[in-house]
Amino acid sequence: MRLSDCKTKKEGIIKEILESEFDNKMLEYGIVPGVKLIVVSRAAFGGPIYIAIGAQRIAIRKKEATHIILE
Amino acid sequence: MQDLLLYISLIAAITYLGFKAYTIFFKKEKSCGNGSCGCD
Amino acid sequence: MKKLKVALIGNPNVGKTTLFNRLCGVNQKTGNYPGVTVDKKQGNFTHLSHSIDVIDLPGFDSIYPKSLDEELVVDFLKENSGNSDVDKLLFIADGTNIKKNLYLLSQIKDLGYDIVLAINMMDVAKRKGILIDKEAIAEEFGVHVVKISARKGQGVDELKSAILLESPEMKTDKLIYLKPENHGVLMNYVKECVSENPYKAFLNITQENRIPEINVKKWKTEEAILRYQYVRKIIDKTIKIDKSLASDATTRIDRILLHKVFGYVIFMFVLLVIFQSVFSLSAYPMDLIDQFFSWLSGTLSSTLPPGSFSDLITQGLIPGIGGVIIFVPQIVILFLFFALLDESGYMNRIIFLMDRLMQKVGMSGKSVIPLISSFACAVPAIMATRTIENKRERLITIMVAPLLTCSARLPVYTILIGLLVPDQFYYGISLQALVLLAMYLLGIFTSAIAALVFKYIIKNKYKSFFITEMPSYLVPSFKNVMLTIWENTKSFVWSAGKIIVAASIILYVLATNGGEKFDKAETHIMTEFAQLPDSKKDAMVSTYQLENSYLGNLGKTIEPAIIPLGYDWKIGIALISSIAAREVFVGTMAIIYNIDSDEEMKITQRLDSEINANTGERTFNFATCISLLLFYAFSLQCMSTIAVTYKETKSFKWTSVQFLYMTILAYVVSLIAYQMLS
Repeated sequence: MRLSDCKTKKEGIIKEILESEFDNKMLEYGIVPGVKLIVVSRAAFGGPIYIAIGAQRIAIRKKEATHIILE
Repeated sequence: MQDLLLYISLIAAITYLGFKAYTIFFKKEKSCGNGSCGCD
Repeated sequence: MKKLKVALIGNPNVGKTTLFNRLCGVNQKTGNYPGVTVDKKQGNFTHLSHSIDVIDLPGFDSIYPKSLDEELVVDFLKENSGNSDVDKLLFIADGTNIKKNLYLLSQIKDLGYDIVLAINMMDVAKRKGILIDKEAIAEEFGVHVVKISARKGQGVDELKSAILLESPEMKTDKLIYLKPENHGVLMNYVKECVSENPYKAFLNITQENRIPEINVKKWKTEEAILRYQYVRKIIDKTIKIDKSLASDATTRIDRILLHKVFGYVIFMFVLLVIFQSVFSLSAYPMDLIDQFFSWLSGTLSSTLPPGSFSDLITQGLIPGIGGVIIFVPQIVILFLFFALLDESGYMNRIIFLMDRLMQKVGMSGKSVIPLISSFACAVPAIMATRTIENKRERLITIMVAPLLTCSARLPVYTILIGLLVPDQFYYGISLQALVLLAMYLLGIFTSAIAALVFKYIIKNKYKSFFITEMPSYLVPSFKNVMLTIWENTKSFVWSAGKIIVAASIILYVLATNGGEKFDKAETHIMTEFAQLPDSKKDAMVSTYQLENSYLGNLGKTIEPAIIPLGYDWKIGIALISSIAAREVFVGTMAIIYNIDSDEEMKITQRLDSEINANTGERTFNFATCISLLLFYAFSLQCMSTIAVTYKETKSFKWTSVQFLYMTILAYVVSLIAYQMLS
């Protein structure tokens, strides 16, 4: 499942980061395969997705979230 | 005396504004302050 | 006595500015403009009779810079790796969320720096049950570690002492960022081609593709994964979380503040509160300041020896300076809210809420912070666009930022709104505040339209992306808020004040001198209007003099161009003089009308009774006020903004585009408004 399709409050473990222009940037933010994340909130009108990885809280755009595959 | 003071302050004001305009548009400013951070 | 130079670095939102304020207090040099500082800041403190210089760099997330402000830091780090210009780095980490900080720390450590690690927010971390073994971290990274709470000032003295300590022995470079099979390639390159720090070489190789046979992208991806494994191992060893104490208030608050509906309602409410406060809370102190300057001017004119210089002081300088000082209450309130938004962490939530909307008009959620700061001043706002990674989004943000209502417009708006609407309340809401809010909304609306137009003009060459960290909510630190207000108000008064004083002097001289007609004003009036009583004649002489002064001639010259907008030559003078800065408008008005009349009157009352010589009606009638408001809303009358746009875009073309589109917009809109309303 892609992160972009994930509903609010859903949890998941990252399986894979698809290759893109910004995959390194995501890795640097600790969005790496194997970590558990939870979707905290999604902005209105298809805006960014707000995820938490442990104590870390990150917002990414929906477009980028399509590159994150969850188990 | 008063006229002289007025004259001096006028010159000072013009110089200041002129200098300000000059530094804004013509003087190349170092973006890193003391130049120690690799700006040429 | 040692003299040390220390650079303060870390990820954004880890409390870097708070620590910097703790360390240096008011001993700091900031930029010349109000608002957020995106450039390097410098400060100094003394500890145990050693003098320590501190450089505060912008927060950054990655050693691979994606935006201009990150580039500044990374360049600084690369440049100083292996030389002795900077003695130590003071790296600040957030104790409540340390993983990402340690990742960055390990990268910087690999550049061969001598680092003191300050783990901040330890008070919050303790409450959340986070236990950090600082000796173990010190051992692993080979750095001194101090636990602090910058907001409470805990551990700051210990930190100061740690800076003075000899650095622990450097561990041999471990190349943890590279797969073992590639070690040879890198070390060979370092040995053969460059004798520099291996990680610096690694960064240069991966950024500039110096060794053609390697897969740069793979190296970078592997670095990220290897490093996270390394950091996670250290974290497992050194950090224990007591789950029974762990609670995440921030996430729970965010469920409300970032709610799909309520999130936006709350945001609108926050904005409304800010505007209402800027207008209504400031009314009383502003009145006091106004009275003080009237009194000062009156007292001085009766005590100073008569003469041209005394006149300059009482009629030129004091009204001019008073025109700036009177807006200090509003500026203070504006920056109070600004500091609160920034300190609490709500600013980053606005980014989140607004990103989609901003994208629709060609900008990024990250444009919101520059745009909000341009409510204070467009100059730091344009500098703050450096955090926007995408060039087109950045350029559009720069282009439209000056359309938002900056604090310099506030004086002009306040006066014009005072003339336009009565000081009445409806259901507890001030009518004037409502009109002011409308002006703010107009600025927002126009900037959105302008952004949309630029979106279609500027081609998009770069992929846009958006990843941002959401910091924990914090109770704003009193000291930080006060320092923000102090620094910004000081620079508003000081930098605007200098220009206004200089402009006042020149204006005054131009208004009190003139050609032949000016010199013979008295005889002209005496012969032309011999039958009038003397008191009337005096007023006519001064009006006639002003009309024929150098300043009057200047205003008269441009009058044909501005009559269609409903202005007369006196307003024309104000327009010309406010090219230097908008708030000069108020000072100019004060000077023109002070010279014109002998009575001591408040500026609004004076303007209200002014009669337009061309039409015979009130000069500041409804149509003219609206037209002037619109002119000031859209025109780019600010030298500093023009200069900073040029500096940041490095493009003469875009600087001219910005100036021209705003000026033309201002003229056309005011023209239409006046013609329809009059």
